[in-house]
Amino acid sequence: MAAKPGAATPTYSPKIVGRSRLPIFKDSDLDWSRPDGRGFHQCRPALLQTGAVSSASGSAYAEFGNTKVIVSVFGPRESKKAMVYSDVGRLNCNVSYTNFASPTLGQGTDHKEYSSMLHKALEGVIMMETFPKTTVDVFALVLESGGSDLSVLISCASLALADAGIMMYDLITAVSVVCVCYNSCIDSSALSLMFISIK
Amino acid sequence: MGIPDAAQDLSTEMEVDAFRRIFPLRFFERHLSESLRPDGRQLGKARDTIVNLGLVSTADGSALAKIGSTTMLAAIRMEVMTPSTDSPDEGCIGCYLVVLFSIPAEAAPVISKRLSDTILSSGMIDLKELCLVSGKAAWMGYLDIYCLDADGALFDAALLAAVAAFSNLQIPIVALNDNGRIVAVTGEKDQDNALITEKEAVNKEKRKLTLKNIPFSLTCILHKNYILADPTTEEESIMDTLVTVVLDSSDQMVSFYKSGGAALAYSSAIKSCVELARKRAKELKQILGEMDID
Repeated sequence: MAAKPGAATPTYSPKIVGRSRLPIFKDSDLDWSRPDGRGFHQCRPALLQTGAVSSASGSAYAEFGNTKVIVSVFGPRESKKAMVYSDVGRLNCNVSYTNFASPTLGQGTDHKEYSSMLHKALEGVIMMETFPKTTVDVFALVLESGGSDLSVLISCASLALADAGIMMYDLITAVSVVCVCYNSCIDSSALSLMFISIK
Repeated sequence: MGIPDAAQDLSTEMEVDAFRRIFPLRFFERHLSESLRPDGRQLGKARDTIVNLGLVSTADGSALAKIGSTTMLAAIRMEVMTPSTDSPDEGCIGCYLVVLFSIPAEAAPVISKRLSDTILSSGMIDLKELCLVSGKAAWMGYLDIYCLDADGALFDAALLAAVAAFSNLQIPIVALNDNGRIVAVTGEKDQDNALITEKEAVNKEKRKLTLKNIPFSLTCILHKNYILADPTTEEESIMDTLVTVVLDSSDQMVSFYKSGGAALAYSSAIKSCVELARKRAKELKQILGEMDID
């Protein structure tokens, strides 16, 4: 009755890709504002909530403007991957994007390194010696990508770890900075990044 | 038999949580004999259900369905494909369920396939509505369902999220350009747009799909003489016989699924399951109706 979808059927999105970028400022112009009206050093309004996933040891949900991220923490628990005895705990991070996370398709390849970057950010702050032989799994899912994804992921992950009761030295936060012609703006959204041509 | 006696003796001495972990089946059966479940529900009652629409702005249609703690996020992206030669007027739907973080991961492709079969066979969507240019271009809808929290009854929540996402779907405005490709029509006036409006816009305005025969499902557990509707993960792991009944909005049965398990499905059990599914379909119809989905 239905046509077979099949991986063989190629499909394309009708959305127009690669529209011409209008620079929103020129080098000499220092008085420009960001598309959403924020100051250079102003973050987007944020929503942070723990306990979003009941089946996980700890979880957190964060919304920074259009960037929506949910992080679940499982553990400390036994890991099949751990072959060697270790008297400090292990941390395993996994960041994945939903298929509809970004308005343009095929963005998944850019973000494979986010898992290891999240790992590097968290391993310094977790007290690994408090859970020897076991593993803490951090699973992050980006529901919608509106810019500054990694910084939102890191902040949300540290909140989820705290919700799970994993011992840490402190909560960590992150923010992304874009340098544009001697000015720096923090917490850029995807829309503003599209319009900046950095000289 | 030593073990049941041991359970009887220990139940008076042990803490409730310890008893629940060590003798889960006895724990549940003590509740079932009072016609209750540990969370206080009646045997035939489903958990609180919430549906929210339009959460993801980057997708063409999206919905979040929560049954108790089980949370499913469904989103639909529309892309253009060339229809096959034997059905040139029909588009296509592809369903993909992703179950993250939870065990067992083998359940995901099974639920995906069942979901895909249920949606297509219920006749909810007329594939001819997905046609753009006969024989040349048609819509392909990619339905992605993400399980954010798994606490039993995954299929029910996934189906509810899928149905709600389809009702929220708005097909974008497109036009056929010179190269024979379909391009999106934006609201801005620029040179490209001027060319496009000379051609015939294939969709004049953003439209929604008409949904008929919306399927509603209910998963039940059969255990001895009891039928438990809408199980949690704990219940599913202890009692392994699951039955899923899918009815459509006119109470016709769309699908009946039972895959193994220790209990056998006698016709009386099947009738009771269908009766419970009918009640549940009424509840779900009301919930969706409150959000103007018909």
